Amino acid sequence: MERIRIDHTKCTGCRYCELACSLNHLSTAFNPKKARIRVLKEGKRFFPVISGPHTEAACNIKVDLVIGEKVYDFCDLCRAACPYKGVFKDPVTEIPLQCDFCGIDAPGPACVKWCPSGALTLVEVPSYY
Amino acid sequence: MFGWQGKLLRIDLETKKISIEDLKTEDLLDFLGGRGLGVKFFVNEVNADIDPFAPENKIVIAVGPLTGTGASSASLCSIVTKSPLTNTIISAQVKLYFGAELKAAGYDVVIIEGKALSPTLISIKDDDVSLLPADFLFDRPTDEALSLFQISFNDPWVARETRFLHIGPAGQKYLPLANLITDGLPVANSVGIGAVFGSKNLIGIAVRGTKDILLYDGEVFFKTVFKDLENLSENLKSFSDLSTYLVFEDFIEHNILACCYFIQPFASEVTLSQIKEIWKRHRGCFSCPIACLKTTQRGDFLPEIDAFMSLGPLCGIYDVKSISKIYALCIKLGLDPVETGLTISCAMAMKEKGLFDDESVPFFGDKKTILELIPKIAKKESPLANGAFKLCQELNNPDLFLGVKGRSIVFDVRNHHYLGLVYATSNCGATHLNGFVFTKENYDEIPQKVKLMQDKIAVLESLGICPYILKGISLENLLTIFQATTGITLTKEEFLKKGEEIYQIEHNFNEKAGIKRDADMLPVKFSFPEFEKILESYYKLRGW
Repeated sequence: MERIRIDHTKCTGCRYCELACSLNHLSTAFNPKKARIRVLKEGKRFFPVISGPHTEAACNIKVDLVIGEKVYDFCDLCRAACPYKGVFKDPVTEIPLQCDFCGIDAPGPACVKWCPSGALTLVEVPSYY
Repeated sequence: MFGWQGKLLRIDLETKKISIEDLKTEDLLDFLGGRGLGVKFFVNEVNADIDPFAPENKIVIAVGPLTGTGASSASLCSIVTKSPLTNTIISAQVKLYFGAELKAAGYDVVIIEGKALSPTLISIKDDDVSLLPADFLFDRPTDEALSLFQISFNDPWVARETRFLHIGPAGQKYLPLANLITDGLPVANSVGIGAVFGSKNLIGIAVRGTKDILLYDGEVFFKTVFKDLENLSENLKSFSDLSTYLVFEDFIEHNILACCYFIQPFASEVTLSQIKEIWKRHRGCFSCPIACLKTTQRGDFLPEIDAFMSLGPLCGIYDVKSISKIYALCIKLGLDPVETGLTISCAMAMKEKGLFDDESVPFFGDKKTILELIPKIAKKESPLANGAFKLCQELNNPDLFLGVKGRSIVFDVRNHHYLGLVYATSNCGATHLNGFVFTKENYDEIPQKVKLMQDKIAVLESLGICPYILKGISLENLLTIFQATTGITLTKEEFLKKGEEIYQIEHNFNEKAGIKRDADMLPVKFSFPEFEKILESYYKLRGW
């Protein structure tokens, strides 16, 4: 079984993976906001994050605070990996997006093939992962 | 429409009127976008003899047809206005993510006019454009302003994806040395534009876009870019490794670098390995395979060669860590590192000669006093605040100023005549960003090569591609990508002709603004015997 390995120390923040993903899934358009991989900037470092499966469940420590008209949900970094919160949603239709290990020329996902810095690599892992 | 979004956003800060217009297809075909389209709109709408600080002066922000697509290094967004430092037209190139985000928001051109009554922030979220009060960002250092701005969102994820282009305290004080900052990186060639933003009471522009950028032929595009990435040339790899310091050793060998305001030659007081020692991480702009920006472990940007020379050796400082400290301070205050460094260096040279008696100005090599002087400049409390050109004029020593059209020179061109002609004929004062090539050529070829490079850079910046790509990818490679993006086939000659036209329009604007031929002169100290001759044949080539 193959998995995408992410080495955040090599990531330069060029966001080629987002472009490759959106082009591969939209076929004639670019839109990083519709990509299934997103480069998250925390502090001054970059972390590419891949969207997993979507479920209708959030963690049980989550609290929504409403002040005036604004909702503060305290969801920050872990939202990228959260199966419920909508980071990886189509901005227009709100349909959740999920990484499908695509590739215009098989094998290999488009993001891994386009990554110029070597931050994304494809690794073989035992199937029990 | 493929490649372009076809929309123009007009924002009047005075009446708070926001309107969206359609762009004409002929304009897009003639001027492509970016610098070309920006220059076209600016020249059409603004009188050449206007005062840069007048409310009638406009700021035109434009992205190219390739900006935001995955074409190699296609991240540029041009900002065109009239500069208070040089009184010429100037086009700055915003790198990192701002251009791509603006394109995704659905606009090719944004025109900002009028003057706001109080500090204002323009917020663009796709079709939702609003003017927000920005008093909370007033007089804040740029890093603080960025984090304050980000915590004003109630969704941290949206805050991360919103790109912010802003000015620092120097811009808010109308200093001609002020520049623009985006994401902690000073915007290239933006010296003076910060003051124009400040004069309009515009603190910053925030953009977030979620729209698609349509492509004519996705498959050809995918394959061409993929091929480019796979066959990244050796030249580009070494550029990625050394960034702009690629020319460092060549320059030392040919005596092009100098120390202490060009009084002494640079004798390798700092070595390349010392400079490289503090580079911990590489940063790339949007869709850039080169990643030439270098940062510290914490992610703060480190100076490129021009900023390094002007803040370091030209001020008599050879300690790499102190130079990056001074550079970081300049970014915090929104001062252009190159012009600020050269202004301090010029003042030091005058103090050394006994022509200038100011206690706050240090002697060469005094880094502690420089760190105290820079905040004073940003607060407009120092006579240096108006730049080296004005300082020399105020002290009745205009000959001591080493620059062209009011902007200072970084490299010693007595030994690099190619660069001398670039400096003299650049449309926005002495800058190598308007046509760099660091090779030695024979005299018959210099004017032709300078013109070709200026045209090439004009057209690349119009397409939205960073000119550094010329190190490894030629203009021909871009023809396929341009065709796959827009569906329009152009030849290399047509591309260059557009570049020539853009350069000509900029030149005509400067002429109307009163910048005549005699401004295309190198300072006496830097003039070389053949200069008149190559300038004359350059004019003949341009038909001026």
